[in-house]
Amino acid sequence: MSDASKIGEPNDLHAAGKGRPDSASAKSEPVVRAVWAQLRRLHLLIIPLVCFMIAFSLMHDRFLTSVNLLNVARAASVTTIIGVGMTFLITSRNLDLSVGSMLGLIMAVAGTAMKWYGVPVPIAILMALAAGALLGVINGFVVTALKVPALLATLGTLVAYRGILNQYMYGETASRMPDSIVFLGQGMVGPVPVPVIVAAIAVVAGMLVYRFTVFGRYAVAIGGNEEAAKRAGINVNFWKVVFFTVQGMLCGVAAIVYLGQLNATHPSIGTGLELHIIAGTILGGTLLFGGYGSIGGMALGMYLIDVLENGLVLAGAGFFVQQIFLGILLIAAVAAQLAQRRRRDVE
Amino acid sequence: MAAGRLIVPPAVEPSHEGVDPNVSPNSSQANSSREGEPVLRVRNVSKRFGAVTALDGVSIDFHIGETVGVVGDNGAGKSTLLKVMTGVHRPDGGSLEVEGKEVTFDAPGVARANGIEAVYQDLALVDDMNVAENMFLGREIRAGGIGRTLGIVNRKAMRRQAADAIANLRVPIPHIDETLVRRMSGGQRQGVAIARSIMWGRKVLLLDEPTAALGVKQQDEVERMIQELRGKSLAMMIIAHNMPLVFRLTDRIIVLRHGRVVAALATAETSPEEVVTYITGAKTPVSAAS
Ligand SMILES: Nc1ncnc2c1ncn2[C@@H]1O[C@H](COP(=O)(O)OP(=O)(O)O)[C@@H](O)[C@H]1O
Ligand SMILES: [Mg+2]
Repeated sequence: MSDASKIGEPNDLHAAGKGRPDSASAKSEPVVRAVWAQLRRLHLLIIPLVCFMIAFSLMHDRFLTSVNLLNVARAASVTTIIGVGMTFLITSRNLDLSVGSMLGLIMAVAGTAMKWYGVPVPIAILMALAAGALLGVINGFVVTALKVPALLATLGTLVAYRGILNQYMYGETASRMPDSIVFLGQGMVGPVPVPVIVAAIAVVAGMLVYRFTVFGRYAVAIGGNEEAAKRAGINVNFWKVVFFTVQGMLCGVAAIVYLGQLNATHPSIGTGLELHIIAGTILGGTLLFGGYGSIGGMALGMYLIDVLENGLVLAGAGFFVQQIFLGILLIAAVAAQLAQRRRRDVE
Repeated sequence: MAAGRLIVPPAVEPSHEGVDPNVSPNSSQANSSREGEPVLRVRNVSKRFGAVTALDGVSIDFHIGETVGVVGDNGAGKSTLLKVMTGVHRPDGGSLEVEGKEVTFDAPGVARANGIEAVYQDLALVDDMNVAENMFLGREIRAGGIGRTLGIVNRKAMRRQAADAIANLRVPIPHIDETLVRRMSGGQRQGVAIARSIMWGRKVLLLDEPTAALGVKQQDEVERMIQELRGKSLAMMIIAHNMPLVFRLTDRIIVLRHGRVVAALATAETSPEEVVTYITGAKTPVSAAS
């Protein structure tokens, strides 16, 4: 580093020998503060999660069994996988409402490819990823090239992708997927369901990407101050397209898992899922206004939602009650963030 | 290792008090004297925003070792001039030359690749990132090997270099590790933006109202940082309203009015009163060239 005058490296032309080498020594304190900051963002979530779990276990002795908790994790795996992409998108101050339609459309593409046209499983998986990438690129193109705000752009593709799906399937279903697909959705490795493993891999990869790669850092920069990112030479539009593309590809991964879980596909699958995904992401602490995202929080958020749904089911409540709760949860999460932001602005 | 990183740059004389402002203090270096080739030349640049003409045929030369003050009323076009020089805005007319070669700053980063750095009026910091991330934004140090392809950043190296730069400039930031820029005071934020521009600016440093919106003590801090940069092998442009500050920090003063250069004066040969008459339009242009 003593020879740092290469182009593209910071110069130390102006380092004038009066440095204070002790400046970076206080190491542990910021780490503690960073952890505390994380917890402060998550407490919103952990408290209700624990409360609900206690309440449900009192109401129903089957709730707090490891089998049931793993069942909940299995149910949350599809939303968690998609939530990884949503966390990056919302961090970059974007949004994707078309995830439910993408999930359904990709499941139709991969499912019918295997069942109607005899496409081998590995090819079908590649097709799912490619289809997801294509749908994501379209979203990114509409947002960057046509300059339609992400909310409206993906509201448009939510409808359009669902339309393509309905046009293609015409109410038909494809069922009884190949064994390897069913394994991805329903199999077990020891006591752990395979979809939970897939989701865990997505979450861990997402956490690493968020913290240690330019992909994650640029999501923060673009969401935090897009103009500053531009002036720093970051190709903002390129990265936005990348974020949407990754979201599409993660929908592809989730589609394969869900195809195995349901062992079938149907044109209405994924309808309304976007609210579930966004609610879980926001609950996890990811800021709706961009600049901060938490993959781990998102995973907890998705789990919380399914704990709720599971508990409600065990308590005998139906789907409509679940919808009411999901709506309230989303509003509460957003309201809490707005309150937090007002507090911060006052500071 | 640390000693090797903190070497005093060669051939730069930091003290040049009492030197004729038209003669560069380090004229021993080629290309650096006032008569030599300008490192950056703004030629007849115009910029319109709809009906507003923000810049109207502005020409200024910038020389290594020299600090130019740009003053003018609000809306005179000072920030627009700076943004044209960094490629944020494309000029509608005129041209820019770096070391005698005409350049087009059409993509973000081209000006920076030419060694031109700016501290914008709004600082252009990402509040949600820490100091090191801001200082390396868009120019992250990547990990080696396959990590580079995967876009993995070397956080440790960035933090270390950022800490050194902050320490060298004596920006009063106690520990820079994970603290978000959002949590910092105005003076600290200004210090981060200045440290970033110094870390990367090889030739030209542009500062837009670097002490506005700061308390008196913080103003002094920032002024000290700028003062220490004078005479180094850099061309500087400082936009400011504070006349005493301009007179303490610059070699030449350019007055903009309604997007035009109405005066170009040697700081040592003018007075705050005279400069103000040009700013307000009480006195009309005599020497509109640089
Ligand atoms: N991005 C922009 N869009 C439209 N008008 C602008 C823009 N930037 C500056 N202007 C206008 O150009 C003129 C010069 O502005 P500016 O360069 O910011 O002045 P100064 O920095 O000297 O106060 C003003 O009339 C301002 O309103
Ligand atoms: Mg200005």
